[in-house]
Amino acid sequence: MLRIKQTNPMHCVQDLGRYGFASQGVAKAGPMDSVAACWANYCLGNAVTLPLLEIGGGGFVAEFTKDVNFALAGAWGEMTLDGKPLSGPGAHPVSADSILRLVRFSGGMFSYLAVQGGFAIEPVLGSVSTCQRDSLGGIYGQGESLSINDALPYQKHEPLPLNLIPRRYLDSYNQPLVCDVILRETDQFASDSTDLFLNQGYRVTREQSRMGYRLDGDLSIVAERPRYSIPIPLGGIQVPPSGQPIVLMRDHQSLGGYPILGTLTRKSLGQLAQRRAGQMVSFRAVSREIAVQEFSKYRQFFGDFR
Amino acid sequence: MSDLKSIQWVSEDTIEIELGDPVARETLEKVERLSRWIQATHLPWLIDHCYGFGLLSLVVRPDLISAVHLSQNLHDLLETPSPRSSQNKLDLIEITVCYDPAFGIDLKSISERTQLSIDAVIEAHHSHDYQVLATGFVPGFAYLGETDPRLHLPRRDVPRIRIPAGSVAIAENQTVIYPNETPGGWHIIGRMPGSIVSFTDQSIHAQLSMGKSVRFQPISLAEFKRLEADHAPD
Repeated sequence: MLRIKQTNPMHCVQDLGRYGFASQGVAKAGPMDSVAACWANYCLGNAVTLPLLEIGGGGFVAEFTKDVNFALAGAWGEMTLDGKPLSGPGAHPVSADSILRLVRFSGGMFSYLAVQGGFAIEPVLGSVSTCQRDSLGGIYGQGESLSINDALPYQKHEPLPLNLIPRRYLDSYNQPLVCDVILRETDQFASDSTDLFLNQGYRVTREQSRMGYRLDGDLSIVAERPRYSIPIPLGGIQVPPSGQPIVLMRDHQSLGGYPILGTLTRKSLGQLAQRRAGQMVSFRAVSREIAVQEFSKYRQFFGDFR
Repeated sequence: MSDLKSIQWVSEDTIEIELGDPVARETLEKVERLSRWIQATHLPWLIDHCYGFGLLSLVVRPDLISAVHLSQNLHDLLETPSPRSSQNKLDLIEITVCYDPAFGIDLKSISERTQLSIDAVIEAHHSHDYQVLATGFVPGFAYLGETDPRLHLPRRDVPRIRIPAGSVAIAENQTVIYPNETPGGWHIIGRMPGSIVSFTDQSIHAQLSMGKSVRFQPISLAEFKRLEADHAPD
């Protein structure tokens, strides 16, 4: 078991998300940075679809009650096992009664904690992903984030060869980010909107949640409000009347009343999710073909990717 | 392509198909056929779908389907004539609504703003059938249209913090039923007994889904109470 000793409302159970219910208004949920989440499971030889913990911000303390291999990927900072600093993202063996502390992050917003064999949690509507908005998923199935004394069961596993995360995939999330965007064919924007969007930098604002990240640029985008709401793709860039874009994250609503300029690639979406308020982001257009090639590479490598 | 206005990839795994004017009869027929196809056919490449106001969004596995292939599939599907005889009946859902002022808390203000009597407002609401124009917002929520043009009102300036589950409401050219207690800005005209959506750990059953039609059946307060008691858990 992993017993939670200290936690915050941004610590929750996730898997790759809840699919097949969007037509009924159920959010996909799933990891804010799905690339990092997949690496955490991959390090342990797990299927990337297994339940793991999304740890948003530090202040996480937990005790392992059985020997196991665990892995951390994504945001990094002051992290210790029984008081000794952990060397870095990747797999680590742990013995019973050890205490893991994720004190604070020096880069990134979300760290992913997986154990070999995954946490044993009952899925709701096909997924364990916690979605507070829909009251679905998590340990108790009602969309709760982690609480002190929660116990997450796992099996003691035979040692397996552990995989490493290649160095070039490790990210500090502290550099200015350039996101790849698949632009949308639409007539709802003023003609210069795309150029304006691609040519200026944006700051990530404090208004960031699992539903969306609001960005702030010097110049506003002029857009016409559609008469009807439209289906929203994951990573869609919505432009409300303020002219300042909102990037739609994992718990987004299925329909939205604002026009959509384009969609972030899944990899860029995860990288944006890792950015804190005040960090700079810019965007570049990418063809759908190139984006699919990269997406398919991740899918093939991890066995699944969402 | 006669049937599809446009088909575009909006992300690496999401295709959006424009089916036409959200309230036009031809569009709603296409939606009905696509909905049947999605429900009746095992499509290994399809991960999820969502319909809203003339736009069908499909989450797919791009390694298993190409845009050209999908476009051809949809074209064939929409071109093939289908037996129409028993279809409409199957897809018509009847929903009982109690328009008593105890539930229809905005009937009076609607009546004032539309210059119709309260009875005329109620009559205009249940005198014709509706189509599901979109689903989403929260589980079980569906946008139905179009309402009688005399009932078209903008949403309330200040949304209510809490709208009781089962509330039937109108705004713009649409009407909705609130599946659960949520905040909302629509004008409330009545309430349905029972629940429009039910859950188990494995599935969700929403009565209103893409391709369905809806008929509202007015009932008295006494009838509402009787039906509500029938729905109450043992």
